[in-house]
Amino acid sequence: MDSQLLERLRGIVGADQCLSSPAELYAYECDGLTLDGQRPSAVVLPATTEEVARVVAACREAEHPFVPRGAGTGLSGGAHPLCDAVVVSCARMREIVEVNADDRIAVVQPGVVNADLSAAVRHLGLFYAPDPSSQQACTIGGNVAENSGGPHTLKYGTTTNHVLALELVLPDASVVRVGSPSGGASGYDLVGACVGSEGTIGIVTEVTVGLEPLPEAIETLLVIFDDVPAACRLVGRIIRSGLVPAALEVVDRRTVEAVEASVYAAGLPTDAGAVLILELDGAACALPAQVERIRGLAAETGARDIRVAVGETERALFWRARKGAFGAMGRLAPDLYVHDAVVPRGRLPEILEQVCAIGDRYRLKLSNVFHAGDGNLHPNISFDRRDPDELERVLAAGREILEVCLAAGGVLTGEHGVGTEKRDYMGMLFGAADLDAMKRLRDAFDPDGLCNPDKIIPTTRACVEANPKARGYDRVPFS
Amino acid sequence: MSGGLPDDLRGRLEDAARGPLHDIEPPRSHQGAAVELIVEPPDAEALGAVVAVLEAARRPAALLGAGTKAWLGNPLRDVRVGVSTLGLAGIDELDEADGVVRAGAGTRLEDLRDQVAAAGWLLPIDPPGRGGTLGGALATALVGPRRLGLGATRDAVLGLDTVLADGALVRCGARVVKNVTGYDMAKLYVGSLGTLGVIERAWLRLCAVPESTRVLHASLDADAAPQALSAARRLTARAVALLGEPLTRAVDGLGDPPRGDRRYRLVVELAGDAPATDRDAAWLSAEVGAEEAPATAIEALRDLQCFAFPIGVRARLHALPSGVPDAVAALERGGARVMVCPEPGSVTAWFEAGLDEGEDPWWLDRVLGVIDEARSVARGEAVVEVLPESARGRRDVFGGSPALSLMRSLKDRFDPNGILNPGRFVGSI
Repeated sequence: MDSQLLERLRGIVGADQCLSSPAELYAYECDGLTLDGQRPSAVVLPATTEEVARVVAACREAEHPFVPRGAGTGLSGGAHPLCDAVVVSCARMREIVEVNADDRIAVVQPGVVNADLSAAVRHLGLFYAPDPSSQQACTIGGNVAENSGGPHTLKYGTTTNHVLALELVLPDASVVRVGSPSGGASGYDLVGACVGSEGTIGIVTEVTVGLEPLPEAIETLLVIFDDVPAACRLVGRIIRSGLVPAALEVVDRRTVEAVEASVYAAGLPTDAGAVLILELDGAACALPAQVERIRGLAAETGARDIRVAVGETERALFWRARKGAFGAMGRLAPDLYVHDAVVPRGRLPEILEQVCAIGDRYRLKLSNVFHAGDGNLHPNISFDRRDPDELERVLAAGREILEVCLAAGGVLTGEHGVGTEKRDYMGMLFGAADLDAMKRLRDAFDPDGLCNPDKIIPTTRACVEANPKARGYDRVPFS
Repeated sequence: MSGGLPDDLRGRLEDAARGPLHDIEPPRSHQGAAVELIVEPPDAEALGAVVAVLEAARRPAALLGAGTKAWLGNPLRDVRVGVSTLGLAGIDELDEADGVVRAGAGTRLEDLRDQVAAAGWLLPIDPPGRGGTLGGALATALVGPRRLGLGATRDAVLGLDTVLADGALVRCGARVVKNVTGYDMAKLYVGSLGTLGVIERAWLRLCAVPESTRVLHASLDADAAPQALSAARRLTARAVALLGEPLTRAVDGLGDPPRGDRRYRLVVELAGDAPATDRDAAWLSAEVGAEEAPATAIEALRDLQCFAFPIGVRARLHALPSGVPDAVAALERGGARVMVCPEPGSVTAWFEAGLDEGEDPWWLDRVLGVIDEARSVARGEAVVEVLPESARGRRDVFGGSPALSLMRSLKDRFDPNGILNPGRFVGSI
């Protein structure tokens, strides 16, 4: 890259907060989507909004693209560059600026780790509701970019339901505040437009979030089934019954086996076809009746067994099995492709059968861990990228799974985002006019296209390169 | 009488709408415009064609639903044609298993609410007033008394079909309850008063019907605001409103106060599992002496939010709960009657003008000054909803926005020729 720009960036953030040697840049080549990405030209770690604005101004004057980055745990390629770009990491902006318990809001910098925010307000009887599986590492800024969800979105909603206001450095280097802590800001809902924009319309430098009161009582249940469709049928019955659990998560047999063989072992029966992790929260006086209703519905849908967690320790154990699932998959193969799609909840049983059939047909190790209550599937494919034939089958099966979900009225992604992973699939769901409307939104914020370019919206060039091989999916960096 | 609209434009609009045009004589006064012709397209395709004709002719249009929120916004600019969504009525699909519904913008909200209820679900869209359409509820995003329990309007929207100013029919979102496929475009259209696109159809998420619903009320005096906030923080509180006792007589349905000698009425709706609503009802009874209220009370609160004095000003403030008591004090000192929804904090304030006051600039300046002071002490926002006719256009009723240049940039890209409700939104966008 231009040495003048590099010097300028060093001058803004300090030489020690500006990374440019190949060894330093290596970790920023990709995010949680390891199949994609490119080495950035430099990585800067600004400490203040003003430094972010000056970094953006420098990039803009040099007409050099830049890519905002949180913890890099995203799974769709949102946080890594696709061209010669400066990565702007918000990792040093990790201060909880204000907690206002009376009004149940917090003001945080983008680099605050998701789980740390909940931990910091727990003594006030509050928590921050979105809880992605990566919550021990992922940051609020990244959550805003990706509109992150998590197991408890069924009852509490995703990030967009909890962000009240943002401070944003726009691609023209100006600083703007959108939204309002009161939730009553006049004008277009720019907070709503920014959340989930995958770092393409500016860099978020401060986030005002709403906090929720800790539930008065919690019951966590495991319901054991012989197969996944049966577990999905119970999910459907629960949703239709008017019960609103905090979470309804399904793990299948292959996942249970991996988890039980790992450090996350929770004592799940390894011969079970599927386990439903179900959490109820609310008034202590109301939960016993809800548990009884669940027992009744579970019996009617052929559940083999039902366990109610006794105490916080067992509850944590049940959740460890769910949240450790992705880690446990590391035992199955060197690589894991975590897929993400959504279908209407009523159609989960048939869709899951089709997804498993696709995995079998392509001779893949496909397992399922998913947010059943939201209809949000995560078919996980364990593979070895050094086997080009297997990699090709992974990608082909992935596309076929999406086709099945779309045919059922579903969508390409429920919480991981489009990024680069699904950019070239956008045409499967949206027409040219739909995508053009998205482009108008993006252009209003970033008319020059310097902020995280080539993400989300397929370009003409991207269409030419729709072949995954052309995007480097056949690259084998570790061989 | 076509009021001077060129015949060829009428012809093209007629072709596009595939039906007769409605001449309005005398022209209907709507937000500062005199609407002399209303086009009512029967479907999405016709709506797109009509908007495309207007765009090609550079002929700005007012977007009309049932007209129940015509009071909201700044004056329209150069508008003589109205485009009505009333022809786009009806439910396309109500998926009982999944708890989602798809309906046209012209669907009456009460009809939608009833059909959703018949299917065993609850429609979580609760605007002030009655008689409005789904499209109007989404375009205005105004929230009623159940905002506490049902959430904001935007939270109910899963997907939208929208007609842009160039006539293109665009889709965003889908029928599923969780979705991050691309930019969250629906957030832009909801609450934009049609200025970025005409909402044609929507997928909405539905809520479970609670096992038990109870409505209670209490008479309060001192420390009413903190008590209302405590009530709003009970687990099953779905609607909580505190209002000056005289206001309760402005509408039907709130009944007599539990005690006649107190200044304020607290109305609380509880919804949830029966043991939990019973527990909260017992708490309310012990803490503030609450009693069962008429079942019509929530509807009455919705009506009240649309109530206006014959001559006067109505404003709605939004503030954090901690800012509400100061805002209320400032408004009451300034002569307002108020209704408070403590969480999320909102205050509706009414100023009634005397016979000669309503057209008096001094009176109006004083009232707007009180609203500004209340907004400032509460560090919130204020929208002036109702003004005397002569005062329209004197200031941005939305109070502006620190992000106005971004908003103009959006407007320029979605509606570069200012066809859709020009002038009506924030900053007269």
